[in-house]
Amino acid sequence: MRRVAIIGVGQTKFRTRRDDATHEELTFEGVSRTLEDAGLSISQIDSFIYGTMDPFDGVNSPDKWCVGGAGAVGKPFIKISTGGTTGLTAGIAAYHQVASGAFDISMAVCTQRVGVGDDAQSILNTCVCPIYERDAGAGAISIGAHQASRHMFKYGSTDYQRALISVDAHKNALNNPNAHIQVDVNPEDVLNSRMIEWPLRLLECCPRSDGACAVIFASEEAAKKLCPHPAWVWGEASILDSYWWGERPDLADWDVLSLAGRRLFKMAGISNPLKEIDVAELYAPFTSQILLELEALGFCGHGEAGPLIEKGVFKMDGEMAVTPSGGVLCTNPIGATGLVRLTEAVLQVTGKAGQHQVPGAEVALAHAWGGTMQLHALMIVGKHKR
Amino acid sequence: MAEKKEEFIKVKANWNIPFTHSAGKCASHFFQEMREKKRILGIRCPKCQRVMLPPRSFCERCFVATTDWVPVKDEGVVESVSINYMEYTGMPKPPYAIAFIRLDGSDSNLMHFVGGVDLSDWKKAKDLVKIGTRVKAVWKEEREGRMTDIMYFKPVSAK
Amino acid sequence: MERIGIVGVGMTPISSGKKEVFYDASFEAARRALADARLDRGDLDQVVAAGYDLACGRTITNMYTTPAAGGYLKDETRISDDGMFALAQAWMRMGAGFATTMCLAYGVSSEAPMPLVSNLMFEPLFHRPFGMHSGNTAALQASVYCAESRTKPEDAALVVVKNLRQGSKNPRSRRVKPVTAKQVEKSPMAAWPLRELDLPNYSDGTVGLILAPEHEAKRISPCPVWIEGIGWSIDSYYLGERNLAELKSLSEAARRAYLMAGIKDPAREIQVFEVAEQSSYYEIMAYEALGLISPGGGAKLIRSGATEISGRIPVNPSGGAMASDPVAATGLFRVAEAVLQLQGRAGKVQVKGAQCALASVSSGPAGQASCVVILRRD
Ligand SMILES: [Zn+2]
Repeated sequence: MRRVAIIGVGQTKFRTRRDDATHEELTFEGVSRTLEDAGLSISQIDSFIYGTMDPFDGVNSPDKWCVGGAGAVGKPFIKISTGGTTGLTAGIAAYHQVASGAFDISMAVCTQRVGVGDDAQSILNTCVCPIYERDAGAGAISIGAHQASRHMFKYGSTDYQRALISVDAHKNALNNPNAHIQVDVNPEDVLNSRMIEWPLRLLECCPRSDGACAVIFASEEAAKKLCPHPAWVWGEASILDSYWWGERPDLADWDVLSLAGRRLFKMAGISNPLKEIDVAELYAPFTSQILLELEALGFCGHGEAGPLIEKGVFKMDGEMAVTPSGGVLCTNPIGATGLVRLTEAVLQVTGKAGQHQVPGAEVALAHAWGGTMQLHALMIVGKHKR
Repeated sequence: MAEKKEEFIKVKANWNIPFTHSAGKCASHFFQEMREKKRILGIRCPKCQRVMLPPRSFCERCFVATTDWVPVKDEGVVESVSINYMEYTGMPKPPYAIAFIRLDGSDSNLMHFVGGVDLSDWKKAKDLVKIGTRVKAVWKEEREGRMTDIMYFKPVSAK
Repeated sequence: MERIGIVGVGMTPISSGKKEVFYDASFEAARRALADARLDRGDLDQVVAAGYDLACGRTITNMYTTPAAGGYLKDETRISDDGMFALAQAWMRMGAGFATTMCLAYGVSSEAPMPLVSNLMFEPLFHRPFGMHSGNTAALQASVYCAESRTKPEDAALVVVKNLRQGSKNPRSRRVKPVTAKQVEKSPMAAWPLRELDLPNYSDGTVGLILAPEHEAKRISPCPVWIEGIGWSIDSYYLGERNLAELKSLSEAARRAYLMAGIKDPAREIQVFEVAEQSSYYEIMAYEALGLISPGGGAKLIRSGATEISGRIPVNPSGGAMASDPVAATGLFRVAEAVLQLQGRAGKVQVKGAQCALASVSSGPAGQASCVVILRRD
């Protein structure tokens, strides 16, 4: 297995709708930005991974349409679709293409237009089993709401703590030019916003975003020639739980994420995540999920995330910065979101995050979850080789 | 001369694909029992002995086929809950509460509505359908063999 | 990179569907594959699944099938395309360190109208309004190819006769009856020049393959089948910008696979071809794309009988997609059939003494994307 570097990242500005471009053109825009960042031409890319969640764009397998936009005509091209994890599993797939020795340079490309669907929630409801569960009208928000209600019940986390999570995310997004929602909010704004699905309020839920993102992976040899300061992949992991939410031992504890986290940290040689990791780009379309993810990944003990958030431990200038980009709460192009997490992690460890740079960041974690809180994907990148 | 504002045309489209989903052998039996006998059946894994709801033809943990049907009560406890206040295309009219319910005799939680109480104000509703509430199925008179043969689960304490 | 061997094959019967759920079928195929390899779920390091969401009417279908394939709490990924592309990604994941792998594809065609599902593969702006779907796109391609190569409907009918005859003998295929050339030429016109019988037989079916790195494969199976070469490629989406008379992505995929496997003369070095044919004409075009004969000569090959099971380069002894087309699994079924051939387990459709086999698939309009794999036994 070969060591792998990330030598280029890029993303479009995310918006509710991009009426000035088609899906294919949006792909082209994302890929162009990444090529520009890497200083490469499209002919230097050996292989492509394309990630998207089909139903949102109203096209069955939009990858077939967007081959030209990705610059992949005549090249090896594989389509990944794994739910909310899609972006990151696409990145992991491109990583495996290089790590295996099959290709020297592989690009993961993700485009998603959530804004095209007149109602994203009705599309998300099609994730739910039509035989047993779809009639109950559950969608993605239900997941965050159930986790929130259960976490409050079991650990006593509060509406106020979740409001602080929203406030921090929105403040960070103001410094990220690509973030979708850029408004300054205070805890009262969050607590007074409209009840969507109890206990979650409007400002605790992500927007639906249009945009594209691409990341270039390269072998150590290729990276040496092409990129003076790449990010290095330290480890990755994906995991699958049961589809059935009713089988989770407790919705307050994301135990399957703990399991994946332990595998990841073993591969990356991390023993104390809070000390050794500088930035965590967590996938949390709902405030409640930051609590569960911090606890599951061992950044703190169960039930401790809420109080630590009140203390500011996970702010930009805290012990470990959580989603300095503003995260999924401010930008969610679903099938591309996981790759945006990775892109942001890479920007941090290569010192290219600009206004939202965490000073001295050297190790960053990217995370995504998908399905019925069923799938997780993780990757750790570092400034130095491991 | 003022420049003409660029116009971006939008094309309306929607996916209207009819689907006929096979329920399969296992769910078919489960639904028939609901339709004909107002009875909820779990299925037991012969290896780990879990009683699974909704029933499936195999246990993914032990990777063996499941065979033994086990009647469970149409009554149980709310394990987690959310209450919906937004309306979405093709989805139930709000307000509605979705809960995971541990029916007596089952080892997993079944998704269903909790109803029969006033959900219009979340400040009151969250105490009526909270975690730990005991609920009982309210069956439809006309049943067709699907999950919605139970209208909702109603808190036992509610009149 | 260590060689990767196929050490277990599991297939569900291929059917017209409507009775079982696709995740139960996944469980069945996975169990059969594990039993074939004499392994159990605990031995699996990862699951790589393939399938289309829209055909199943559910978003993220791997949520259901991957646990059924043995993936509970395991590392996994899912390819939203035919199972052969999942085989390619599984092969690379194993090159990056994963050990015993379940590669599984679920083909579901019975729950929704497939022409409509394939119509939605076209974007809504330029192509979709014209009622394009996989059948009439294949027809468009056939008409261009015929004009260029002077291939006749009689030639295409020979492919149908050959594949349905083989399909009728193969118990693993969907139950089909053999047909005569006359019957093909009299079957209803679907989209000129394609008649109903020129098109694949939409089916349901699931297939699982167990893969292992060489050092393990030799201990697991008495006769592992090695992935010696694999290649895949994609062509432009815009049909108007492609030369429809050639299967460009298929020839590019084959070029890559041959290079890796060190194949110089495929017609001599490979004894069995399992080609997922998108139409009868497609199979004739594939002869050319795979380098079995020079461009324009495909019809000569079918007329000569060379691609019959008794011929010198048997193509689709299993019956191919004409007999059964569980969309999204069709390609991986071709791989499974090729493995059985190399292991001498193909039964009534066995090609004698095969040492090297090729399996291929195309997906997308008019063979836009393709994958080719070269398999060998020791
Ligand atoms: Zn069990």
